Amino acid sequence: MIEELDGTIDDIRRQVGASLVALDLWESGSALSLAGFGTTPATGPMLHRVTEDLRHAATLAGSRLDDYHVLTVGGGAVVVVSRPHLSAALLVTDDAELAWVLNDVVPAVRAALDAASV
Amino acid sequence: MALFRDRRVFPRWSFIDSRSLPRPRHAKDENSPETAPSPPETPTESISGPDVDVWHEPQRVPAPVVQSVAPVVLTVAPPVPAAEPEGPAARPQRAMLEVAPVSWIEERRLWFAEDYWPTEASEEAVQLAGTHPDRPYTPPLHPGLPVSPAEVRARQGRGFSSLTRRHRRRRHGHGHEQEQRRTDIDLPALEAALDAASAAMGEGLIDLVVWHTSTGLALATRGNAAPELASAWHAATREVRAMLPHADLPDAGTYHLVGLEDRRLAVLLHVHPDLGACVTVDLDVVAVDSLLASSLPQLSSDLAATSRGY
Repeated sequence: MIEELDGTIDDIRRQVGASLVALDLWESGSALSLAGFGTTPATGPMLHRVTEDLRHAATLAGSRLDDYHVLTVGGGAVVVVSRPHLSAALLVTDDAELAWVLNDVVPAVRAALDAASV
Repeated sequence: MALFRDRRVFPRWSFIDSRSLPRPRHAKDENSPETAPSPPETPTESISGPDVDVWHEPQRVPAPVVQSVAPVVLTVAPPVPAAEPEGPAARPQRAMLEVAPVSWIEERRLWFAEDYWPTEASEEAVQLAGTHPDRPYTPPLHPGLPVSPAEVRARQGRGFSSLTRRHRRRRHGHGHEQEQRRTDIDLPALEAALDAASAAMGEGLIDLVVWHTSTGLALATRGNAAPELASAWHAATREVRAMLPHADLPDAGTYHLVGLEDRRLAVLLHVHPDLGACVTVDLDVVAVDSLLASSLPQLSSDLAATSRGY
C-alpha cells in the first residue's frame, strides 16, 4: 500500500513538473493523511472539511459538487481532487496556468487516485 | 459633555416640612403649644365645692378618678369652644419655610445661555451628590474604580452617559475591535458590470450573483439564480478563507474554481472586501482559457470599481 501511494506521488510529480511544491494524500472517508510532502498534518483534514462545506453549499445552490476545486492563494494555487476512496491536494506555484491545471492536472490526478484505489 | 443635576435650589436631603404647610381649618396641630401633651395630672383628692368644672380632653387624658371621702356631686360641663377673634392678624402664626419659586425650564435656559458648560464634575457637585447627608466624600488617593455610585453619577452624569465621548471612548478603546467599514456601492454601475459580463459569456453563463460580504445578501443577479445561492456560496467562501491559516496555507487569492456536475464550473470571486460574486458557466460552451484570461478579470475590475469606502 505504501509503495503504491509513493508511486502515485511520483506519477503526479512527473506530470505536474516543477510547479508542484507540496502534495498531500488522505483517505476520503476519514480524512486520515496517508502520504505527501511539503504539507503539515493539518492540511489534509482542513481541505477535506472545506470540501464538504463546498459540497453542502453546492447542494443548497441546486447543484452537486464534482470531484475538484481550485483555490488561488498567494503565490500559487491549491488543487483539491476528491475521489470516492482517496483525495489529494496539490500546491502549485504561480507559473502554472489555471486553464492548464483544469484541463491537464486535474484529470491526471484523478486518474492516479483511481489507479491507487484499485 | 456631561450635564449635572443642579442642586443649588434643592440641596441634598432637602424635603418639605409638612409642619410648615397650611392645615385644614379644623385639623389639630400636634406640635403647637396649646395641644402639646401635658404631664399627667394628679388625680384630684378632693373637690371643695360642687361648682368646679373640670374638663379634660377625652382622647388624650383618661377620665379623672375622683376619690373623695364624702360623697360629692361632680358636674362636668360640655366643652365650649372659645370664640375666635376676627381678622387674620389674630390667627396663630406658624413658621413658614421661605422657598423661592423656581421655574425649572427658565433655570435651564439661563444655564444653557451661559458660556461655561462644565465638562467635568466639580468638587462641589461630587460633594452634593454624596449618598450620606453628613459624612463628607473623600476622593480616592489613587486612580481606580470609583468607590461610590455617587461619584459615577457626578462624573459622567445620569441619562446622558451613553452620549458622552468619555463613555464611547472607554467602550471601544480596548484595541481589538474592528473598525466598521462604511461602503457606498454604485448599484447602476454594478448592474452595468453584470450586463457586460453576461454579454461576454453569452449562452455559457448559467447564473451570476453578487453579494455583500458583510451580510451575505444578494445585490444583483443574472441568469436563473436561486434566492439561496448567494447565502450558500457566501458561507462557503467564509469557511474557506477562515480555514487557510489553520492549514498552513497562504492567504486566499482572487478566484476559487469549484467544479460542479454536468461540466459546470462555479467561480467564486474575491474582488473586493465588500463584494463577493459567483459566476457559474457551462464548460461545454465557454472556453476556460478565454474565461480566465479576459471575462473574469474584466468582471473583477468592474465590480471593484463599484464599491467605494468612506
